[in-house]
Amino acid sequence: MAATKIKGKLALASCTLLAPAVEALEAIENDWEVNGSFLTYRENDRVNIDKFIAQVDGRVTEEDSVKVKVVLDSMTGATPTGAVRTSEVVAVSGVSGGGINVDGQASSLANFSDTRLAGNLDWTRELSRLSRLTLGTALSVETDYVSVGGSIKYDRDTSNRLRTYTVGLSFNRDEIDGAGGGTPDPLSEVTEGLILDTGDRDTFDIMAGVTQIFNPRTIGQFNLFATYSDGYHTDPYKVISAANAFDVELERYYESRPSERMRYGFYSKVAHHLQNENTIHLSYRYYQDDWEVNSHTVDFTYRFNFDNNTYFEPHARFYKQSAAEFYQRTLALNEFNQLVDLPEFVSADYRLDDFFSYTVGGKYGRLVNERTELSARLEYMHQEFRDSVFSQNTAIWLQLTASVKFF
Amino acid sequence: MTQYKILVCISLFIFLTGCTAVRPWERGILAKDEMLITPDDLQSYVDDHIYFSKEASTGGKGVGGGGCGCN
Repeated sequence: MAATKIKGKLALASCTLLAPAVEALEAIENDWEVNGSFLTYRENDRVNIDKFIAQVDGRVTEEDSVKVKVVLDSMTGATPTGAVRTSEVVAVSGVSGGGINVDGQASSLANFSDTRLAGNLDWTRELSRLSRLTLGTALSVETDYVSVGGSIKYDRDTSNRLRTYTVGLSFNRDEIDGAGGGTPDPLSEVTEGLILDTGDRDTFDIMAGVTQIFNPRTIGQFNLFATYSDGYHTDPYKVISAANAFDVELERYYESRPSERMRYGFYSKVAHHLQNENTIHLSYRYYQDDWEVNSHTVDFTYRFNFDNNTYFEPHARFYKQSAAEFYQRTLALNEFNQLVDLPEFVSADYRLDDFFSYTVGGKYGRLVNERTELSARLEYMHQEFRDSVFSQNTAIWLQLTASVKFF
Repeated sequence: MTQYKILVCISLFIFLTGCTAVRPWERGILAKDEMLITPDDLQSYVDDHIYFSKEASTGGKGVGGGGCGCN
């Protein structure tokens, strides 16, 4: 009888000793989140994209966590080449790779069709109670474009955990190569079809930031960032028309951009929980680069929490940028229809023009149970360009997301 | 450049001085998902990619992520 009692006590003691370890193991095994998302993006008679995203993140040991993301894009439609809208026919040879076709006909749009597969892997290790190190890798593959990158990020909390300092570095190598091989010779006439080697570009990012708890309802973040890129920055599918004042086109040239770009700016964001239990997010980004583009971006969301399970989130974003110093709508012709000047760098890409853009939208989300959240959001974007061949662009996108937590 | 420096200094001043002591038991609201700086990772990823493709500016939220030949 006594032996049985001792045996029982030993078993109980063993269980007591083992219990924390078992609980910790269960917590690690179950601390995972799985997200799936579908996006459909539509521009008015232009680009169409369907995107599928799967993301899994969670702990693999007590100190380590991973995040894996896989993205598949299906892209079709037409994109502006930079050429004027002319009825003149211009014969073209040269790059037609990457599923894109600069047809050189009356249209100043180029049709394209491509698929993109991308993946990200982030590994985070808790170095101490107050510090974390994250290593990241990224890969993106299209028919005509491959991008490979790596990053390192260090977070350090202050002892009272009111503030977190963050520093990060990343490197990316991009290779641009048409399906036919190579990239067009910048500033060559499109009709000549002069093709050069694959375009390579190296990009280095650095950022430093601070995340601060201001009070029990307010948190903010401030980041400084800088990016230096070296290599092929020209878009192989963009051209510029040599045209007179009436947009009668004489010739088309492939665009040419500088081989270096230095960008920097800061990003600032505040999240605040109101007394009425709703939440606002407000951010501002200032950006400038040595191509003389500078921009201001303001983003605002207001989250109405209807109850603990349902919310609606209206959203607005405003963006204003200046033109790149080498942006031109066309290459000017003189009264004798002769080219006045062919600068070293020139582009008619609408994204380098002076423009204003706004986005408005809304998101509806619902917790269907304590582990699962479903959300749908719709956004509308309108861009108004100062000087481009196409003075406007509008887009609408719908994103459906399901998130499941295991805990 | 001067404008940039002024904005950075003002923002840093606010971030490094504009706080009060918040005890751990007062952080219940801050622990909610909606109070994360990036509350929806996939939404942020998608939007960043769209704006990267349609504007000349990029960056600010972090480092890495990969490029694309976006149209």
